[in-house]
Amino acid sequence: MEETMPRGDYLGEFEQMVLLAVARLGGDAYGMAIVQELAEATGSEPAVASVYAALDRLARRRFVESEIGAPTPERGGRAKRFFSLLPAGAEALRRSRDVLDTLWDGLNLDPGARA
Amino acid sequence: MTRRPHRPTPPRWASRLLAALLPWQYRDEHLGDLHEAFVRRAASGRGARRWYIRQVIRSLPSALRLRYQTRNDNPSGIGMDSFRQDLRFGIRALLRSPGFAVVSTLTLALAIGVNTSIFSLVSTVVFLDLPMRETGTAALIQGANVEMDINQGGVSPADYLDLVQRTRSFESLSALAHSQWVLTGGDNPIRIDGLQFTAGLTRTWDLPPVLGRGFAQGEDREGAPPVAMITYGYWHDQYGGRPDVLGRTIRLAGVEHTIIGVTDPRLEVANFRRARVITPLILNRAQPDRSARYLFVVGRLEPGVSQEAATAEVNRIGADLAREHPAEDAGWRLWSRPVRDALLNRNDNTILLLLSLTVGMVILIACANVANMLLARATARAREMALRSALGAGRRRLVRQLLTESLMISLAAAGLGLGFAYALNRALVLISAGQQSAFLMAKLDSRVLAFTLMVSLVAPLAFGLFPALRASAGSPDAALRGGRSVDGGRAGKRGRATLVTVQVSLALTLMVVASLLARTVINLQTRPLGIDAKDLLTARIDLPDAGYESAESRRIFFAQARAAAAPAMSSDRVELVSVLPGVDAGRLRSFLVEGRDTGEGRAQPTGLLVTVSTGYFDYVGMRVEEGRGFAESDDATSPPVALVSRAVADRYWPGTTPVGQRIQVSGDSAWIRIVGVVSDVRNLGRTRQGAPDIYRPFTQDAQQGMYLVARTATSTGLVAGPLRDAIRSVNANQPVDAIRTLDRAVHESHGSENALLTLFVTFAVFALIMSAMGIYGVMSYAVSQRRLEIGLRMALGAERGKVRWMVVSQGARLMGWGIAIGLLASFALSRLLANLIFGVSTTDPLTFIGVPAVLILVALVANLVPARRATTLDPAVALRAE
Repeated sequence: MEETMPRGDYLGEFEQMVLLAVARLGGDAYGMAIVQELAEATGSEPAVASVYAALDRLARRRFVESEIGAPTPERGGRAKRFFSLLPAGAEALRRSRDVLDTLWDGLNLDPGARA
Repeated sequence: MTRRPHRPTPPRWASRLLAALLPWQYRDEHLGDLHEAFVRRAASGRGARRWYIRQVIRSLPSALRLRYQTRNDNPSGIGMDSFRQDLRFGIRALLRSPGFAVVSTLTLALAIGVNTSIFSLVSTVVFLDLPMRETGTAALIQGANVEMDINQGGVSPADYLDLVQRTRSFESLSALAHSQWVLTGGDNPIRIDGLQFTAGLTRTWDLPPVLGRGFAQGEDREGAPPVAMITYGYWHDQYGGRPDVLGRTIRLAGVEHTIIGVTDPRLEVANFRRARVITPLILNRAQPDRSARYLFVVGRLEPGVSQEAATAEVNRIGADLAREHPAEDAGWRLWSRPVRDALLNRNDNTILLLLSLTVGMVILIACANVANMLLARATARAREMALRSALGAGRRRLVRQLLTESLMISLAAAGLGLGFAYALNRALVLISAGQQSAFLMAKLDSRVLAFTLMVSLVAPLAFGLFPALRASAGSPDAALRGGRSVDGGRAGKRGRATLVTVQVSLALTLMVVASLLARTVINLQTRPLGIDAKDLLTARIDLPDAGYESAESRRIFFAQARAAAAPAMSSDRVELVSVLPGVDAGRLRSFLVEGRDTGEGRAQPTGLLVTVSTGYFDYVGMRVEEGRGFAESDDATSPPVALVSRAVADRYWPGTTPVGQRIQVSGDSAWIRIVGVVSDVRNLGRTRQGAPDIYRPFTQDAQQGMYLVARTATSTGLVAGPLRDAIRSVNANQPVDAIRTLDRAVHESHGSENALLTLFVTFAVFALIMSAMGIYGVMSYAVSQRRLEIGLRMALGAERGKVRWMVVSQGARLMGWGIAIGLLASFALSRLLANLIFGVSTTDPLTFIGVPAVLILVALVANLVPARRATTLDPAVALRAE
């Protein structure tokens, strides 16, 4: 399978958020649940398709994997796709956080602290 | 007031829109997510619809992006893997029903075969590689005579020389003539075809020799050292393509010619392709006969001069010449036309158009038939399709699968069809006896192969798409439950009925064309030949110039030849004639009648000069109707005499007799007395009038080329050897050609007509069989669909006859429409034929009643078989089958 995204070592902000949501939801990480998780954290609801687009990219980088659940009536007879975090995904999250921590270290962006 | 519990659904248009944009990998879960949230919001009454629509609209860009991300991964969708799968399924499906596979492949193969064959003919003519460059600035100059219905005649040498002198439109003019040579120096003297070029021809045509040089100025004058060029083909066949051929000599008509060049291979097209050697065309003022129009003249326009201006000038010069030389040129005009236009005559164009239309119909009929078979098969496969659809195959996938099968049939048919086309082309060459050069030249070249491939790629769309859409449209639910509705319902039946109607009308049209052509050919060929051809054996002898310059030497040769040939041909007598009746025409000459003024601008009387031995008329059974025949006393020393045919007498001496009148034939100053009128022989043109022949006795007009004619019961094969030996005993270097019976010669001269007729009859029979198969298919299918109904009717006591009538009348309705449409189309098409047919009207009642009658008869038989099957059905079996 061809790698369609540029092979970066780091995650985009939205990808990071989606990946964290998957990790937080544990075994219950499917599309709508992730959207709600993000909505609660950010205060605004992302488009469902943008979440799937991010998840598709993450799956291509082997950061997440997914499996199809059973169809349910309240979903109009459609199945859920459950995502789960792979070790590489967890590693990527940690690395991103380390990099950010390093960059933040000793930095103070409060207006009064600049002089 | 209680509200009915109401289950909310998201707006359909929004979910459809999103579903269309999302890639299949994420379609279900995405829609499911939205649905779930929608239901939850709707339950708590929080503007669920608005939320849903907003979500969908905001999702659109990402959906597109998602589609882009996933464009390359296709576990079961589009791609090579699935194509291979389609192929595998297709092969399996076709193997499961070999009958269908074989019949449909053969049907298409025949149709593709005739299409390929005809296309190879058409492309030969239309894309003819002319043996000259820059055809836009080259023009062909031809003579025309309205009164004699000659559009594309040659130009006489004297007229040509005047034209060269007077024209300002052409930078150069060149002339070409056909010639024949006796080639000696090998084991046997052989006759070869040649061309004669004026010196500048290779330059005018822009066709430089591939080796050596062309003729120089001065080499086309009397007395110049004899030189020759040879054609590319002859160079390879005879000299192995070696360059040291230049400077060698070749012995033509007893004279050594030095080979100075090899012509471009492009010269070998159309009727130039028989030529082996090219010699200079020697023209001089000493050839005063302007009515001998045998030159093929091509001019190269001056830069800046248009074809129209050249035509106007050539017309003017022609008119001047007609005024200056009324004895020969009156009534004749000169034309200049762009080369390509001039080489295709009108009738050829009509035939090509007709052939293209016809093969188009043939392939349509074949496609209709295969489509019909596919439609019937679609019913049989409804369950298979339903199952695959239920297992998740999309409609597009199913259509693709079915089209793949169609494509496989079509490609197999194309392969077979190429073989068939090859065979058909060979057969046409045989049937036409080499008379039509297009048949000889038709090749299955890359252009033809491309055409065949294109047809075989387009055809599946024509015959496969509609059935495929039909087959994949059924609801899997209904099909799997085994309901009767899976046959495509009314629409499916109507589709098949339309196809049959189209087939019947196309078949009728083709049969009408074939019938009109058949009657034309029969009419042409059953015109009385005018002589008793029974057991007449003929052989041609052409004497070379060298050694036979004097008339006396020719008389002596043929006298000896007749004496020697008679025992060799097992005959007591051998007579001479310069042209064979019904095979070739005499020399076209205009003539003056003593004491008669032709009148300003009117064409001179013309006739075809034929030379015969004294006893010829009597021997072949022609009657002297007025005056006397030739006598031994008409010899070189007595006053010149002639006989004219009945046709000439009726045309130029209506109501009176030409006997005793004197005529002067152009090119000869002698006055010739007409001593008799002889019965007509068949005209080579398309007319019932006899050939306008003027006969001269061989004793007074000793030609170089004559036919020996003898009545003999011995077969041609047995005569040929002894006859050649006999002639060689007279002159060891003299070949004999065309040893054959007159019947054979006449048959060969009709070769291209017969070939054309064979083609159209083949098409018509093919179309008839196809439409009979179509009707049979539809009707037997209809019967099988109505088995239950018929069984019930019979069980309830319906008479067999009534049931049978019910089935037959259903088929008759289809045919009625087909015949009505076909008749209209035939009337329209028959106008195209007006110029091609002879002795039969374009609205010939026999054809327009007979052809539908035959079609109805065949169709009824095709219809009766299923009808019988319906009535012999055991009601119990029929009912149990349900």
